Amino acid sequence: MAAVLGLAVLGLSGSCARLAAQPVFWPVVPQVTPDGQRNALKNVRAQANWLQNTTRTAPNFRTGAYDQVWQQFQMLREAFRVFTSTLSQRQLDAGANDLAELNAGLDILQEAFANYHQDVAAGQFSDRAFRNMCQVLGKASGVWIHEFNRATSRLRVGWP
Amino acid sequence: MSLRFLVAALIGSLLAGCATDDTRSRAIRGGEGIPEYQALVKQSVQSMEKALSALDRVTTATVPLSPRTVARFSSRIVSLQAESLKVRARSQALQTRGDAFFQHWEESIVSVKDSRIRELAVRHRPQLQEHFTHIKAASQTTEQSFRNFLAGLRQLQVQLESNHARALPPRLVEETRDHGKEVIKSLQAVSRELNDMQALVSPSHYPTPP
Repeated sequence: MAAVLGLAVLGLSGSCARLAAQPVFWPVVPQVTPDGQRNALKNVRAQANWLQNTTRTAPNFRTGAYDQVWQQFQMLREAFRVFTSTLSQRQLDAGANDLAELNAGLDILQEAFANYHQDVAAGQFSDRAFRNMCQVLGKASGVWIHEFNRATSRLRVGWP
Repeated sequence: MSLRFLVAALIGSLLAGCATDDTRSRAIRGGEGIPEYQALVKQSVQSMEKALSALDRVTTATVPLSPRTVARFSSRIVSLQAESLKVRARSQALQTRGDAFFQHWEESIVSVKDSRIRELAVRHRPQLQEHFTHIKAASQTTEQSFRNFLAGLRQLQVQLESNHARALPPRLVEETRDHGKEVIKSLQAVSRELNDMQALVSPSHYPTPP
């Protein structure tokens, strides 16, 4: 009986390991309220911080480094998407240009991943190309979050 | 007791007055308009000039290049990609939103406190829109040239990091440098259009009648 239970636990932990490799987007019901906005704002900042941390530590990982960085970037994108869904129509109208620029900024950040693959295909050592990618993402995401903070301040996000 | 009540009522009425006036202070702030864009373009030109200087350093240095020289070149390319994020994002937003970008941007110009600027912005709207159309076109050229410049830099970086004892291919260096110069030229075109727009909405450009 104990052996069966043990096998079941092993099977589950295997599934969990596979699931852990996938980004998890919990179904979020955005709230167009000051509290909802503040929470969404904090989440974007947290995800950006996590991305910067991951780009600093991932070059030292033995396996799964690229996937970690990719997943963390996708979590930032998702956090931003959820954040925009908490904005009022007035904020969306007033911030239309800023939000378009922030979206474009995320697209530009994402180019770093394609550049990594191109550099490896061109003959660069993959760990060198990966370090370069992480450095670009780390630095550029700092610029992005700075602009995000400016835009959200202008839009009075989270104000009652 | 009655004095306390009066003071409380007075404070209450003052606070109520503040609450009703608060809507203006809570108004969403407009963007910084033309000066902000001018500053952004200026920073971008400076960043490009630094990248071109870094390119000159690795192409004029004698081979084999020192690891430090190669590292500094790579570091400059990383910085360029971060420093260019904002202007590239602006350019892409311009292309995506088109006239809607201008209309929204115009609102930030007319939201300034100075009524003379607001009046000038309304009066010169067709000219402002024409300058904006030129900015949009120049931004598209800038973006394309930048992509070519960055691609060239990255190819050179790959070659240097793989083998810094080998001289860089002259043709690739020349093409990359040319793309870099095109980026600066297009940014300068954007800057000229912005200066013209600024002149249109600056009261000091118009002599006061005697």
